[in-house]
This record gives sequence, structure tokens and C-alpha cells, in this order.
Amino acid sequence: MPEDAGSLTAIAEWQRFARPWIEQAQTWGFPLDSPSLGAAREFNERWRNAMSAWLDVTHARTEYSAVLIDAWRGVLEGLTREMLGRTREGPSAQHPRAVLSVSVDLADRIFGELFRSPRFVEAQRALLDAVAASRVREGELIEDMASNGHLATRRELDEVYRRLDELRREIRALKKAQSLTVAAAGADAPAKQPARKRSA
Amino acid sequence: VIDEGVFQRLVSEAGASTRGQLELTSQLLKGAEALASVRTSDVEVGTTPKDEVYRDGHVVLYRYRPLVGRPLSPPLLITYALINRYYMIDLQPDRSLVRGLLRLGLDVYVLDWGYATRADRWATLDDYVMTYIADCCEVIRARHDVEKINVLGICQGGALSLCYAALHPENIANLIVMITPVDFDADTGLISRFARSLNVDQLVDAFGNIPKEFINYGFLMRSPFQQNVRKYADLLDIVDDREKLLNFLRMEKWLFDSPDHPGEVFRKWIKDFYQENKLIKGTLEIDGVGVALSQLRMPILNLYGTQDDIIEPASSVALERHVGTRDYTARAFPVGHIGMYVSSKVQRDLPATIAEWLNQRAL
Repeated sequence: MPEDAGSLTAIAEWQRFARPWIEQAQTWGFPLDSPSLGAAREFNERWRNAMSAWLDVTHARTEYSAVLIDAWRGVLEGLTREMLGRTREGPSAQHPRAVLSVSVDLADRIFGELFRSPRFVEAQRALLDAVAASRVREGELIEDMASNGHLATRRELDEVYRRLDELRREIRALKKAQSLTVAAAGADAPAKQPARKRSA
Repeated sequence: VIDEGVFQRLVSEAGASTRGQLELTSQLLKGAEALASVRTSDVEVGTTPKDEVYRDGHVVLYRYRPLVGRPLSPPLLITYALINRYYMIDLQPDRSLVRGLLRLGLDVYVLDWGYATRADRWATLDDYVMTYIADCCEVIRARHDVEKINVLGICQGGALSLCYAALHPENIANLIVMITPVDFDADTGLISRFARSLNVDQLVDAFGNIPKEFINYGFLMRSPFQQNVRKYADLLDIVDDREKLLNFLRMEKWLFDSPDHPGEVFRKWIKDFYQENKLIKGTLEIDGVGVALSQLRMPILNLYGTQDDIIEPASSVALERHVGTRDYTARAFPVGHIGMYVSSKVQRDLPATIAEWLNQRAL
């Protein structure tokens, strides 16, 4: 048997052997099926939280889409009415660019009204909140995986950057205090040179 | 059996429709060809010659090379918004506020905020005012040996300039604000509503810096189909004209060249300015010090667009009621937010308005 064919057979066998685990992992079943004991307990909880947050995003996105669909329906109704009216004006009114222009004006007007409505604002806020919450949960999971893989985590990097920012402010405050001290000492000393001219 | 007249009309309309489709297809092909011929490097922006004079991380202070032997003193520092890039004031040679000002004898500096990275996650709005703007003012004062400089703050950069000028009026000779939000409650536009509805703590905690896509989404909401559909369909009308095509692509580059917004800056910008309107209420604090607009006793020029739907005029003009100066001038231009940079009429009038106003106060 040629070497390549042997390799292919080995890969196929491995795929057959691994399929149940792959399928479980693909549906996030694998970690959740492990016993909720010891370290797995907290890890499982993070998985559940992430999944739950993701489901919240899906739900919020559906609600958001439902709000948008109402606007789309309004656009299609309005466009149909408009185009029926324009059939009397002849073929030039049916030119793709003319149709596009009418559609854009109509859609922007209807969506503009929608975007100002409390219903849309609420749906948008719910979606953003859900996305942000999901992002936090996702981050917790990735933190786990990164630290298990000996990688710097986002939290660690954020801490470094935060500390750098604090140090920078401290240095700046020290420099300012130092320059004030030097200036005060200079003011006390007898003037040796004329002061630098300053004018607006 | 079809009536002969109806049949003839249907044939005629079908013919016209097919011709229309063919014309459109031909234009689309031409458009694709024209776009393919433009390389990224062909889309040049911000080409007015300038030199870096100061840098702090990726925040850079540039001085444009003066076009006259003895430019007007003191120099003018332009502070742009952290949203989008400053080169909008120098988009192309014939649409350049900077070139206009240089031609009229001004000495122009610009503060480039750069692209915020993860390292800027904790930089605060206070840092931007009291470190970056303050340091750039100091650099210019030292370079020119002057006590005071002129400042032109644009959009969000205008609000930051107001804060700095109120805290350090002794460093500012004349203050110009352009399309600048002041009374955030007076703004009923979509951007303002969007900002007021945000759960900003959760967003910043989740994302760190606020992604540029999020910022762009807010702007595209103003007219999504105009900006995402018609604009590109209309492009077909200019594909034969390379200059117009390049102008279009410069604007496209600017529109989508938004840096991420530093997280803590965004938190304070949305909460203190949009949601609590602290600037106008006099309750805003920068570095623990109250910002009182009544401290603005220097001459002020307020420039705004009457059709601005990003910063509504009512928000900008409110400044007059709160400043401590009697030398206050407001100039309205009949354009929107972007029109202030690119309208040919404004490009003719705006630099002259600024230069004339500054010259009168330099005497």
C-alpha cells in the first residue's frame, strides 16, 4: 500500500474514533458533561454562564430583528404603493436607479422614525447589554484557557497597563512638584539674567 | 387576445427596461474597472507639509509649515475629536481648512491623538485635557516664547478645549470652537439619543476600549440607506472622472478610519457630558477641579452648521449663555457636520472668518 494511502486510512480511523468527542465538543456538551466536582465545578459554571449569556444575546437579537422587520414591512408596503403610482409615469420611472432612489428615501424615512421610537431604543439597549454581558462571560472562559495554556491573560495585561498609567501620573505629579520647587528657589535667588520675554 | 395598444406599450416598456438594465450593467463594469485601477497609496490625505514637534506615546503635535514669512502670533493649536482622524481638516488640497488658514498667514499646529490601543484602556478624559492638551500648549508657548496661544477645538475636541481653557484661561489668548457640543440636553438628534440610552459602564467593562465599529454604527444609523446604498450607487456617475473618484475614496477612507475610543474616556464622555450634561450644569470635574464655563473670559468664536445633525446647533449656541466673556461671536454656516469641512462655500468662507477674527484680536 502506498504511504499516502496509509496515512489517509489512519486519518479516517482517527476521525471515526474521535467523532463522538468532536460532536460533543462542537455542541459544548463535553465540558458540561464532566462531573461538577473539584476544579471542573467552577469551569463548568463558567461554561454554563457563557452559554446562558450567549442565549440571552440570541434572544435579544431576535427581539431586535423583530423590531426591524416591522420597519422593513413598512418600507415594502410604501414602495409597492409608490411603484404602482409610478407605473402611470412610464418606463423611465421603472429604471433601476429611479427605483433605488425612491426605496432609499422611503427606507431612511421609515427607519429614521423607528430609530427614534422608545421600542427600538429599548430593543437596542437590551441587545447591547446582552452582547456586553456575553463578552464578559466569554472573557472569563478565555482567561481560564489562557492561564491554563501559560499565556498572559487580558486581565493581567489590563493590570499592567493600569499600573503604568498610575506610575505615569505619579511621575508627572513629581515633575510638576519639582519644577515648582525649582521655580520657587529661583525666585528667592538674586536675578542674574533678565527674565525671558513673553508676549501674547 | 391582447389589445394591440396594450401590446405595443408592453413591448416598448420591456425594451426600455432592458436598455436600462444594460446601461446599468455597463456602468457597473466600468465602475469595477475604475475602482480596481486605484491603489490604496493613490488615496492621499493630509498632504499639507508639516513637522512633528512633540510626541507622547502615539499622541503627536505637528506644526504645519507656514506659508508666509512672519505668520500671525500667537500660533493656533487645533484639537480634533478622538472620534475619526484629524486629517479631515486637510482632506485634500482643495478641501483643506489648514491650507486656507496657512494661506491667510496663520501659524497652525494640530494635535493628532493617534490610534488608541489596549495600552490606552485606562487613560482618562482628564489625562487628555490636563496632560495631552496641556503639554501641547506648553510646548507651543515655549517654542514661540509667548504666554498665551490661540486654540481651535473641533467637535469633541472643542468640548475638551473648553475644559482646558476654563481650567487654564491664563494660557489661552483666543478660543475658537467649531461644531462643538455644549448643552447636551438641547441635542435631540439620533447620536445624542443613542448616547443617552447606553449602559456605558457595562460596555466599557466588557470591551475595554470601545471598538471603532460601534462608533461607526452610531453614525451610520442617521441615514443607513443613504450611506450604505445610495452613496455607492451614485458612485457610478463619477467613475469616469478619476479626480472625483479619488475625492470620494478620500472621504470613504476618513469615514471608516475611526480609532477605537479609549475606554475610560468614553465612560466619562458619555456619562458626564451626554447623560448628565455636567459641562453646562457646572458640575463637571477634571482632575478633581470643577470646570466653570464662566471662567472663559477670553474672546470666543463659536462656529456651527445650521444643518448639523451630529451636533445640533441648539447644543453649540448654548455656549453664549454660560461663558464669562463679553467678546463672544457666533457664526453659522448653512451646512451639516461634514459640510463644515468639505463644502466648497464653507472652505472659502471659514478660513477667512477665523483669520479675520483672530487678526482683529491680535492688534
